[in-house]
Amino acid sequence: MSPARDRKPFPGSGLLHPVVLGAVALLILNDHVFKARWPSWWTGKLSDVAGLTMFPVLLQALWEQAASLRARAFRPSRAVIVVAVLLTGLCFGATKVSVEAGNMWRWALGGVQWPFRVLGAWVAGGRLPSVAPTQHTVDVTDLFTLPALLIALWLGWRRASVMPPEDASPIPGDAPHERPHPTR
Amino acid sequence: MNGTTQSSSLETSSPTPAPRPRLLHWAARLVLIAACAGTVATSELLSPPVFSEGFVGDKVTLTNEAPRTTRDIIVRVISAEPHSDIVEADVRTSITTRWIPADPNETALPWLHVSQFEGEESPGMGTTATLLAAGDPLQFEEFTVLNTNCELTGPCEWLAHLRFEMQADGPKGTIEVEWTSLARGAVRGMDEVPSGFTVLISAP
Repeated sequence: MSPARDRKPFPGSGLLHPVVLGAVALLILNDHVFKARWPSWWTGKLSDVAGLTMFPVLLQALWEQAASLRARAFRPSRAVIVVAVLLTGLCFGATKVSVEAGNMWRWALGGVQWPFRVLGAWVAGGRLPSVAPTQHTVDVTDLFTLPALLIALWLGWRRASVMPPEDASPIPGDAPHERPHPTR
Repeated sequence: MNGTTQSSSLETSSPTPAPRPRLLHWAARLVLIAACAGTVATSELLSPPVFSEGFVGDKVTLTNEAPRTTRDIIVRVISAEPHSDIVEADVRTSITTRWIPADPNETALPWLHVSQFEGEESPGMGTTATLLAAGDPLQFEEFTVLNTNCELTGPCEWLAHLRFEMQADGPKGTIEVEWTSLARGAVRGMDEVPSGFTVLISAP
């Protein structure tokens, strides 16, 4: 067995897979460097592929981190990655075929960005910005990137098979009292 | 054997995680934050759009002898305040065509191809339509995103081309084309356009 297969999963460890790390790096680079330098259809599709690869794993990691706050042991769940993949696919698909769903996404993302823009304006001493929608292209051809979700599904499925169901690993917390003590 | 099992059991329930797993836990949290930031910062703001006035182009007449022609459209965006943000612009052209056959009894209808583009025309671009019966107007639209990036540090200018081509070997007659273009500009990364932001459209 490879060392990676021997390593027991822990909450959020799915994000440390090289494919997911690559997708996160590609998403950030593409959105902030490639799109500005080479604006074209392929930079748009590249973000979609990277986002669809990493976003279900991010949702899964957020769920696992939240669940680990009240759980003493952890094992990855296939149900969580399946729900994350379905949710990502449905929302992505809706924003690519429906102008209304696309507008909802533009305003939602603009709303999430707004506190950071307020903070930036406050630091720079500028005027208080208003909530504004972000850019978004409703483009049915972006649906061709949906198979990238299979990468996330495959990674999550494989991760769940690393550990047999009866072998849940204890969650190492930051404070000693959170950890299970030896019983002997 | 027994000793090995005991040692493994103690390792699993050890109160202090080994430094490497602990590092991995922190690495996962770091990637989680980076992935959240990457997702939130995935799209920039886009200011509300500003439209030009409609530009009515000169009427185009195509015949079997002169079946193709091109018209140029200039889109300019100016602003009173220079900005390093990028301007996004596009142009939409409404086209109305009429078929006037040389022989009033002619029943065959020619096709017309119209494409609008910036830079070089790519194969498969534009719309090909078969005209309606003599005199009946046929309407359609061409839309082009002006892809060349332009920072608002100075005036931005794009040159778009509108190419018309009728079926040269088709039924004899004339196609008249009327067209009106409207340009739209917006600024990336801004929630409102800077003062004096104006979109102009004209012919060279």
